[in-house]
Amino acid sequence: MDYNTLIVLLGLGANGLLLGSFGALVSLRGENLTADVAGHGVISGVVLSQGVVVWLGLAGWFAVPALWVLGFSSAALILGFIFFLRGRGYSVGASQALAIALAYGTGLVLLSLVQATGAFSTKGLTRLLLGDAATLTMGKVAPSVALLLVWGWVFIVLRRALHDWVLDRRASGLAGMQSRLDLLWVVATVALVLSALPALGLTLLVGMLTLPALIVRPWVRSFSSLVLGSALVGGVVAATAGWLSAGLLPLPTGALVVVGLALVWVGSSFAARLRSSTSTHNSATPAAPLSKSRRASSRVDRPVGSPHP
Amino acid sequence: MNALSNLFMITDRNVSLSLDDAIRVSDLSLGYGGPAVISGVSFSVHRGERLAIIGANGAGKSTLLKGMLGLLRPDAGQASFLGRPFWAVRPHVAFVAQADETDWDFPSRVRDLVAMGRGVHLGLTGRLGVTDWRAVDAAMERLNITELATRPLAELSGGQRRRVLLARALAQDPQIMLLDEPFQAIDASTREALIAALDDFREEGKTALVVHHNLGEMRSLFDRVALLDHSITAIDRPEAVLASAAFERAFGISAR
Repeated sequence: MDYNTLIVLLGLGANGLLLGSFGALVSLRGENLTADVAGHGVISGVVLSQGVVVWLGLAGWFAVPALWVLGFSSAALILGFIFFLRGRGYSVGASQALAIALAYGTGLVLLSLVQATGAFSTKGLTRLLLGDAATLTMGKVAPSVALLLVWGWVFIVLRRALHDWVLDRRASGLAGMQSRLDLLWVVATVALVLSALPALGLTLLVGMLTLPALIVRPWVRSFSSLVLGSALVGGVVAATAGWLSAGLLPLPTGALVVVGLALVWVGSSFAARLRSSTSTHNSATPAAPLSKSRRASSRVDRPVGSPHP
Repeated sequence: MNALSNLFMITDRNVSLSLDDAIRVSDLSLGYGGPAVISGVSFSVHRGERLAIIGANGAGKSTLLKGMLGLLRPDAGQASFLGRPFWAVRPHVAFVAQADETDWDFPSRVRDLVAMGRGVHLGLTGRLGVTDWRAVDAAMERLNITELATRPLAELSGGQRRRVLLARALAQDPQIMLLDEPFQAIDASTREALIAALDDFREEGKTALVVHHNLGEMRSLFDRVALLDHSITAIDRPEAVLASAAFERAFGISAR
């Protein structure tokens, strides 16, 4: 395996682990669309950063910091807009819809302006927004690896608080934790979107945030195992798709990642349904009466998502 | 100030526990952006007292609790607990919501949900220690849900959920509890368990403010009753409120 392929696999694996684990929190909070908002919020910043780099003649090393600062700022502003709306009494769905419209509209207007004036080529920009794993370099992969390490540490330190914050917003708010975790969540979402954009692009990124958690959900009974399981699924599927794309299948990496995740999800859902119907069938079969403690333990062993006894 | 206190988790742990009034609400008015749902509400709850808030549907009972806790921003007035605003005494005040925002399909177990009650004492990075787990187990025992400890949340019935949420509030070891219709849609055994837990709570000299619907059991359950009809129209012993003209106006019936 050559160096370039290794870099691509490292980038895909790191992003898969990151998006998978973070996506578990996003899914549990029902905030998948908010991650989409963050993704679309980045567009304006990306366009502006390209403009700044080209107009000021600052190509080379300046491109990445400019992308990070402006992309981060525009996405953070859009996410801030969501929380502003919620503070004004808007529902989760309404605030997300308005923010997506704003983010997408602003991004498209800026992009159209740039294309219409011919100020600079948008070829690289399109590649950035759609993602191109094959062109990953160490410079593009490093932020994802660094972010993965930071996120791992944050999760270990804040595991209990994150569990509470995801499980019950109101209780977490009354305990005085919600604002700080909301802030952390905004920063983490934007950083994650920015680090994963070069490898995965916007559309794939949202799929990577959602699917691993959906795949793992029927098979786990604890918060930590959901987060770790989603990370594992995301990392393994992304890296495997990269490896297949590099040598065995003449298909783009992004497409393989999505198809791979979708196939695993179908398999997981089918198996979960099968197990559920089997357990229902077994429970309908007459059996010797259980002792009180046996009955309790048999209920306890029932996995999440299975029918209520 | 509330947003800042949320961000930096400012908490006053040295509150005075010797005040006569555990809860004091002064001229509180609030709504949902339109006309005020409650207006000029003032009352106080003494230490160790159990006070019921009653009122017809839409009278503003749940809104009042939300306003007191800062979940809704008051247009005017304020609420204080143990002489301080809520944000300064979070560990001492527990809330059991009516339509709770708990995700019951969440992959977690009953004991972990009850342990959330200890979170307010631990902050963001604190870990549950032996004392915390002891408080969690004691609260579960009090509500007779010890055997549910390892049960996934998805497998709980409605009554069990009520017990679990009350156990979470008790695990916090608060001085004051605010409960929004805790007796709604529960079976007899759950009702008994809740009443027993509230009786223990009162015996410890602690205060409970309960939004309640069942007018028939006011006399046996509460020390005083406040009738809310967008503002407090009567507050007194249960018999006196049930016999008042304000009660007749609010419900269109007479309990005399």
